[in-house]
Amino acid sequence: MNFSDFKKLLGADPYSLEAQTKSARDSNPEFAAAALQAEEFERKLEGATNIQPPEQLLADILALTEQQTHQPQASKGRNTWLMASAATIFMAVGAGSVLLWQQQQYSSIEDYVQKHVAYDGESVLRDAIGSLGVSQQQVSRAMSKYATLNPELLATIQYIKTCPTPNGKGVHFVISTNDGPITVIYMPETSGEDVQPFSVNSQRAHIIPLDRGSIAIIAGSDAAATAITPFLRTGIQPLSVDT
Amino acid sequence: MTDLQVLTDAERNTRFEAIAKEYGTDLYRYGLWLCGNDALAKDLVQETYLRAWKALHNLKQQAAVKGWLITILRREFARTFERKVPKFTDLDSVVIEASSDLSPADQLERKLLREGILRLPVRYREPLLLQIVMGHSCEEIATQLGLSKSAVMTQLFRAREKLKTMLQKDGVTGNIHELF
Repeated sequence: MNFSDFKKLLGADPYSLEAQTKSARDSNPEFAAAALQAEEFERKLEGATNIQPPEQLLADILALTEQQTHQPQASKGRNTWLMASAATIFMAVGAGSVLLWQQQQYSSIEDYVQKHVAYDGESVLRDAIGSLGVSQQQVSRAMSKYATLNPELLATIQYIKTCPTPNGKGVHFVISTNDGPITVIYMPETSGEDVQPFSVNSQRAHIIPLDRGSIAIIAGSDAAATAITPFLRTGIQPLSVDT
Repeated sequence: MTDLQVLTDAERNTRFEAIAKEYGTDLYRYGLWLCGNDALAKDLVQETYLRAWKALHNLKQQAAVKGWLITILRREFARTFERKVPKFTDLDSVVIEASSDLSPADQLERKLLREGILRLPVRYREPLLLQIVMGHSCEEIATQLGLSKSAVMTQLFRAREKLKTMLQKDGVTGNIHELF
């Protein structure tokens, strides 16, 4: 093996343990020096790529499967959904809604919103601020199972994605308003009755019940959240479960 | 060989949790370097695991888990990419360094390397990430990407050469020049 071939091999596989490579490396100081340099560069590459994942990553992965296990399966038809709903109501009435939450990874709707915003609230906002908006197709793709949006609301959406919620999937979007960007999390299967406004990551969150599920509005102030509430209530037209 | 089809629900969940713990971090890193966007990387990983969980009964060999997850993530990324080309994140704003004991020169070098990786064309970036982040051998990369081993080795060599060239052009000074 000549030096050029040896360098190509190092560039392709710096830690190659093939006997031929080792033999070549040990045969000549120039080869050995090149191998050391390649390993040094590799350590720099590994250092550069070795980034820490979000703290919540594993919990969110496991939560997704938990939700798949517990959420009503639309494909099983109306009866399954009715049974699931009945079970939910029974639990809420008989044992209090806290028990329902305890089945999930969140202790309350406030806990869910706190964790969700801590997980990707900032990065989604950042992407939304730099975005030129989203297409109707993107909105439809994210929302189609749950709701339709009126054109006025549609025009304000800067970013949209599906996301986990306490009960199955939901939709996380950011709208542009006179009060700045406002985050909205639509939770189609989560009732948001009687939840008082609360603080989350230096912002204020309001939980607003809809005909189906509820939305969390996360804005810079209570006034901003209150001001945008009628616009969102009008703009989101939930689909019935059977749709 | 472990046949996951015979697992009970509880065993299946336990196995899934083990898979999530073992590969979740690497998959996130791989996804982040592939798409260059932290929010999308998180979505890709979640979608990958969701699909994996649903199809766990199709997995016949435990040893194939890593490649299987990568395949799912790559397909999901391709689907996403068809819809919208993601914008690169400013990685400095999302990366949490494992250690902060790097000198300013080393920090600059690392920053430039990261930018260089994201600037690599996907045909060079992807095999490099499979090797560095996922720990694949050249043979495994060839299988994953449907290429010959020699083609993969050429791409890996060129990827590293391009990174070195980028660093030179970006004016990195210090010991990295000793490498060229």
